[in-house]
Amino acid sequence: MKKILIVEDELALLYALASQFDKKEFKVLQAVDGEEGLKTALKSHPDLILLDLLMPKMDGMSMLKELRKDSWGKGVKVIILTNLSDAEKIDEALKQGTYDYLVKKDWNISEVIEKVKASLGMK
Amino acid sequence: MKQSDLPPNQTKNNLAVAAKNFSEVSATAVFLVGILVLIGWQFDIGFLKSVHSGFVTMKPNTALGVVFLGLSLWLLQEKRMRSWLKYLGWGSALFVLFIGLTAVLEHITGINLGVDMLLFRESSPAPFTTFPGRMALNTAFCFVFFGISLLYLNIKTKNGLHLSVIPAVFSGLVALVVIVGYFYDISQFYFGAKFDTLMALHTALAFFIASLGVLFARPEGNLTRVFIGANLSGVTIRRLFPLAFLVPLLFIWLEQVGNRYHLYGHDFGMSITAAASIVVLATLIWVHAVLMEKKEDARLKAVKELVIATEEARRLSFLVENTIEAVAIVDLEDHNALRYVNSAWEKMFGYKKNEVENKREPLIIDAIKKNPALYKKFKASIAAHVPFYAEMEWERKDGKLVPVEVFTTPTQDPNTGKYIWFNTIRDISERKQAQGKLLKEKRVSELLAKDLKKFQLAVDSSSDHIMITDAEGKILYGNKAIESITGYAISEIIGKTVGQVWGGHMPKEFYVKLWHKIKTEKKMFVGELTNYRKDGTPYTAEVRISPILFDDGEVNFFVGVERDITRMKEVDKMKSEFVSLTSHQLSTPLTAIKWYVEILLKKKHGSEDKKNLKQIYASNERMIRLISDLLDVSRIESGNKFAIILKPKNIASLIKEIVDTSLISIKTKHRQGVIKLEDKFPEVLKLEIDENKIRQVFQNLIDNAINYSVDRIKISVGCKEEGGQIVFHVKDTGIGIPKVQQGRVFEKFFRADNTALLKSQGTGLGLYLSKAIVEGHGGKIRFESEEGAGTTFYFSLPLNRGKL
Repeated sequence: MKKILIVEDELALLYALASQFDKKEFKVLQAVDGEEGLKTALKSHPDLILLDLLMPKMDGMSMLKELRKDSWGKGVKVIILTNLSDAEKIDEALKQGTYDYLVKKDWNISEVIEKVKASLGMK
Repeated sequence: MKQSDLPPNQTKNNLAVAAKNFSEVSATAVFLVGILVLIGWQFDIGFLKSVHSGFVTMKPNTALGVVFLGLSLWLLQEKRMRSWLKYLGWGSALFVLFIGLTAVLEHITGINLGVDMLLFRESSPAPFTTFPGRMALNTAFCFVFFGISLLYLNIKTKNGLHLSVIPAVFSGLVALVVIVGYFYDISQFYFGAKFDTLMALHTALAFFIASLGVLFARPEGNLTRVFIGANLSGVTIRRLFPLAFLVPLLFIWLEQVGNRYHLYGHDFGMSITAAASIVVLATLIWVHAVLMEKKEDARLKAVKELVIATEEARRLSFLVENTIEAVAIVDLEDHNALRYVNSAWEKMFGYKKNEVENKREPLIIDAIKKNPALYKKFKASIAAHVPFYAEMEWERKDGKLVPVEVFTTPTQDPNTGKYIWFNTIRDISERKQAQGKLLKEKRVSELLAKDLKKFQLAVDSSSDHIMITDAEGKILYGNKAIESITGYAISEIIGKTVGQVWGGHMPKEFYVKLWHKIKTEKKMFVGELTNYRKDGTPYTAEVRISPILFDDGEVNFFVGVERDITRMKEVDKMKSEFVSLTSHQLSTPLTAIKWYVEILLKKKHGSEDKKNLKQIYASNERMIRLISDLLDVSRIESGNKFAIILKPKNIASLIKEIVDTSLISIKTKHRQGVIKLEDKFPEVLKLEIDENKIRQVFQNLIDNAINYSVDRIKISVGCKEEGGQIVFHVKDTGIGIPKVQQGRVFEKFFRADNTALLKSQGTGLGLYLSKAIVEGHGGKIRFESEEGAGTTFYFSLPLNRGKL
């Protein structure tokens, strides 16, 4: 059983995504902003975080930076899942040691789940 | 002119003729003397033989010689030189010489040749005669001299002296001495009477006359020329020369008469004769001089006037002859005869002086007749004797028309009262031309000035900041926009270099590149730069600097046009941000639709529902792609880096994947077609690419190939290595791209005209983005297309990155 955290301010997307993970394989944690995401992450130590970038309170990039300051957080696998596709953001995210950078609208949920599985070595 | 030359010549000729006549008359006289003496011998007439009883006789041989002397002189007159008579003359001269030589021989050798009394006998003893019938020695010599003289009558030395003159003068002097001796006492001169015969009086007279006759036979000779001169020296010698002979002889004769009647003693007679001769001669010379003086004064005055007049005429004629204006003197009252033309006239009309002078002058009349009004005016001014002026065209000898300006001025000759017309003609073709040119130039310059003014106004008030600098960058001109854009007054910056005012705000490489472009390559530089206003605020400017070159290609000056694009940039940024924000805002709902449709599709539905859901999904996908493309475009526009994330990727499998998807999409569209993969793909080749982006490029190209094929779709995809790059191609047999639009294929939102009929859904962004993607990878994209035959797109990707 793998624990994943989805940080996504858009509830429709959050539910859609969360609902498609197989309950037998994944325990899905949810957060609606960076602040909550960071808190949940540091408390629950998920195996992987799916992170949106544009969010209220604390954006994804700030949360990622905070996360990387933590001794556990600096090693956790992060996949950026956002609709921002600016080169600078991508560069910045990759520098923070993210596993992948996915542009939401280009990916089906099933493809995202495949990515997550691949990163966790579940295939 | 010629008329006035004639009289002196005539005078000279007359005198020469007179001299020659004198010579002929003297010849006749001498001849007659000889004949009379011979008659005297024949009929024994003492008077004829010796003039006076007791005087010596003229010997028969002498008389014969005198006859031939006269005959020869008469025959050898100049006028007979053309006739055969001259040979008789020379024969007679030889005979005279022969007679003289024979007598001389007899005298010198003492041998009697038996010629003395060949004709007539002379009784012995005869008065003053050594040998009866033999002539005196001096007579014999005189004959010799005369003979030579006559033979040489035509011979002249180099300096014009007739050789005949010398022996003739000598003979004349001998004769004169004898004559003077007779006037005095014969015995006084009988210096050789004891041993020789005396010369007879009439012999001496004949000789004297003959010598004068010989001298004047050729009066133009050096010695005699003065006698026939028309000038004062001629008058003088003609007047005084005879007196020099006559006056002394007269007084000697008077003295002899006085002596004979014993009026005074011999000594007194001699002295009174000398004194009287001196007084009379001196008086005559004085009278002559006085007469001459008046004549001379008048002559000198005339000469002086003539010299002045000549000089003036010479100067005037020189001026007239050489003036650059054509001058003609026309006698309008004598059939318009041209009396004179100068060299400029010759040149202007192509005629030579001798062709036209003293002939009818046709030009002016013909030229004027062409214009009836002008002709009327001309005739009127001629009739009224007032100057005439006109501009007209005259015909040259070669038929060419010359535009001329003619001044015709009448001058009345004070002597004849006739009017002479003085024409001055000026070639005004250059002036006409210049006038035409000037008029044109004036018009052009007016236009230019207007244009320049317009240009200056335009440049001055252009909203772009315009500056002209010299080759070193020193500012020569700046327009008003400079003041409003930069805050610097024009007066502040003129004379400074651009660098002094604005330099140093950009990286060094920028300036190096700029100067290299405009000064070395001599091409226009286009760039964007950040400048600072006088107050320190920055602004972004697009600058274009063009070198203006001299004819030799060196830089003359630079013209810089700078546009403040700060605002434009801002607007642009806002536009990009707007697009970006909108796209992002759209992204979330689109993602939501995508994902929920995906969820719905997983559930079991009726086939109708499934079909509808798939339709929603496909439309949503199109929307997503459009938004992606728009986002990419806005990124490119805003100059932001295109997000290309390079990762190694096996290119063959990528292409296969794309081709497979495309084949499915062809099927779903219910169309027939093949996509052929050329077999040259290196199966293991990996390239460093942004997979999604390159997929986008292939997808775009294949989609276009499908969409722009009309019937059966036939596409081939392949690649080959070329100079460190791999070049892919996508080839179709579609409708092609119209030639005129091929240049715009990679423009954004461009769609070729011939695509309108097709039911294609292109946004016009595909190729624009493909180009940006390929170039973002360091490659290039191009195409070949023929309308109606198909299109092939080529794009390259660097190979070296794949060899990791």
